[in-house]
Amino acid sequence: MCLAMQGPIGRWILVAAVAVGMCAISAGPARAGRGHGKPAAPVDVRVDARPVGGGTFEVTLTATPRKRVSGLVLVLEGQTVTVGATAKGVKRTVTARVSLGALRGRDVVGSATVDLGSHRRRAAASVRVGEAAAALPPVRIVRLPDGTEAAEVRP
Amino acid sequence: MRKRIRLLALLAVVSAACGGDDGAAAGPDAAPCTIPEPGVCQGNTAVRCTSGEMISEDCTATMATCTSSGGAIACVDACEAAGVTDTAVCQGNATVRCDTVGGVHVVVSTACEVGQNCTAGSPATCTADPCLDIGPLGRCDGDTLVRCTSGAPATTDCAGGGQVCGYGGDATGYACVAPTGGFVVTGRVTYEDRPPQTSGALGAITTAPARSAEVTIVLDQGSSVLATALTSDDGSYTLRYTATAGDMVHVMVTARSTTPARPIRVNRAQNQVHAFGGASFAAAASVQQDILVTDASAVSEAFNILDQGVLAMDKLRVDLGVTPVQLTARWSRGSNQGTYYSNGGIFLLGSNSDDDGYDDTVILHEIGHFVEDRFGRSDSPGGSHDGSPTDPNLAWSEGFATYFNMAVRGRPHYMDSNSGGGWGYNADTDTTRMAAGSTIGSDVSEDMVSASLWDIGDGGSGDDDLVSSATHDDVLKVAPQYLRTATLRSIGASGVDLVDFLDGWFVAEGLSSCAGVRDVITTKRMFPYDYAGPGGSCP
Repeated sequence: MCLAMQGPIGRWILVAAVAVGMCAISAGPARAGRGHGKPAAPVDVRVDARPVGGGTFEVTLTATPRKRVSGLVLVLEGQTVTVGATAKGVKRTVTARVSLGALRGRDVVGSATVDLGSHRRRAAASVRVGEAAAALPPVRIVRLPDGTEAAEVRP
Repeated sequence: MRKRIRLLALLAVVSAACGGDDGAAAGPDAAPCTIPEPGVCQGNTAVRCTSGEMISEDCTATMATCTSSGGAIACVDACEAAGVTDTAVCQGNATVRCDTVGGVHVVVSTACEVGQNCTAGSPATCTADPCLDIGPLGRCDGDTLVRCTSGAPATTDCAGGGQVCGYGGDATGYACVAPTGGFVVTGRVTYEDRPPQTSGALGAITTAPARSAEVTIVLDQGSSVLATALTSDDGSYTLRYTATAGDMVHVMVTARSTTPARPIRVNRAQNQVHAFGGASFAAAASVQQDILVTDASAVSEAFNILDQGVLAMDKLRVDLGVTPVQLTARWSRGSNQGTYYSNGGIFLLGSNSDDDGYDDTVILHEIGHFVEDRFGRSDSPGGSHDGSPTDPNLAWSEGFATYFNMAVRGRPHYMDSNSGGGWGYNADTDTTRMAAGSTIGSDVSEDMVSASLWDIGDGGSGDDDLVSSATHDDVLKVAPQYLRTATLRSIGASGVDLVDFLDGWFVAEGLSSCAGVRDVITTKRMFPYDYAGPGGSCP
């Protein structure tokens, strides 16, 4: 898991964690056998990052169609790569350099749009580079009169 | 005028001898009429045998439609048969009138949009629902009770009867009640929403009322609950409670509705219901506390999910006459356990790259699965699907669920946002069709199913198909009224699919819509339905 770390040492430990792909988030296949899933793009998408120094990362978007698609468009950090027809299981990638600049951390998003003849679907994935995002607000448990537990967030 | 045209046309009925082409009566040398009983429709001409003679009747001449009626082939004026004139009247929550399309009379039904009611008049029109911000629970304006009675707001001065306006319980809602508790807190609960755009991307933050959300007054010290109510449909609430003056308390709003009209709860992954607390204040005789559930709290999406549940429950209860049952949704920001329906509950993604908490159409799609499971029927094997031709049971289930979202919202869109922008789909302009050579049991696209259902249920100006007399409620009712209990035909794929819906459609609606359904299903989408189900055979 990505953990927020303060200071330069902690920051680079985190960067190393990113480099080994621990923070990669992917859009995988719908979970067969888990009831009725939503309509989805038949493509596995993941984004990985590795530090190249100076607060810069090499980020790679990998898209792998789960069936033959008549068109595939990859988008990463403003780059749009039109791949065209792609067979099932064939990996397509696009790579970009990302610099944190003044930021301590940010999400890098990649997407793959597949053309299925009469319709299109898009899947996305992201990876966190640099420091982790702010933690979710804390909750307090309040027991309601019927015994239900409410997880209360207060500003 | 219409009767006069019909009379003239009847005088001009062409009776032709079988095999002849001159319109003269059959002579002794003419071949016997071979048209099978009860006759056939050839285009819009009724052709039948009478005493061995072939009789042709051009239905268009009388602005009628050739159809099977009462076991006979006949020219039927759809408007006369439905008792509809060119002045619109209300039928359910739709306006219905007679129009002329392609030279024949058709019944045009236009469903009122969400938030509108059909108002009787000459003609009837769809107007803003005056009860829209009141809902089934009513509300308090000070000590004036506002309830919706017979479709219109009605007020009662509670103070005039020595009472106060307060919450009378989940079955009653707001009512005039005996004065209890020394303190009252009132206010309005809203949440930050990001409405989906047709592209699939989310729009900018707006605020919306939290409808039917549970509000409680909580003692800060020890977190005991002092009183509970639900919000009205404008988000307002009135809570009467007993405390020691000066005790620090706050209002907490939870993402659940406990009224039998809308039994919904939205849980975190740990099964605790989502809640948001307002600022603390000292208990006093009368305090005003408005609550805004912010996006930054990571709770606002739970209230959006609750609100989609409210829309769905109202569709079931008000428009379909179905008694709602408990729906539980599970969503948490950060959750990556998938979006799906299973065993009475919907599960929604909350991940960084794909968060469905504001995706109204995705939420309603999953509620559509809840509806087919609890009130209709599904034989879907489940599994992944992307709009491509697939198992007919799976395609039906997914297409119905997507269509349920469209019928509830009154819009032909499905949108799914993600961090890459998302994607959208418009069923009204969709052109998905069966491949050439397909059979009635061939794989089907879920998009073709939802687009077909939309076309059958839509109407009004701009309608691009020949089914004009049906509403989305008519389409949805086939699930509880036919698919739920019917013995399905052994044709095509086993289990419920588009074929079984069409069978149920003609059972419920009769055969007057044959031509229109044929236009939607066969002409536009090349689905090889046989039009010979238990509702009868289309001419």
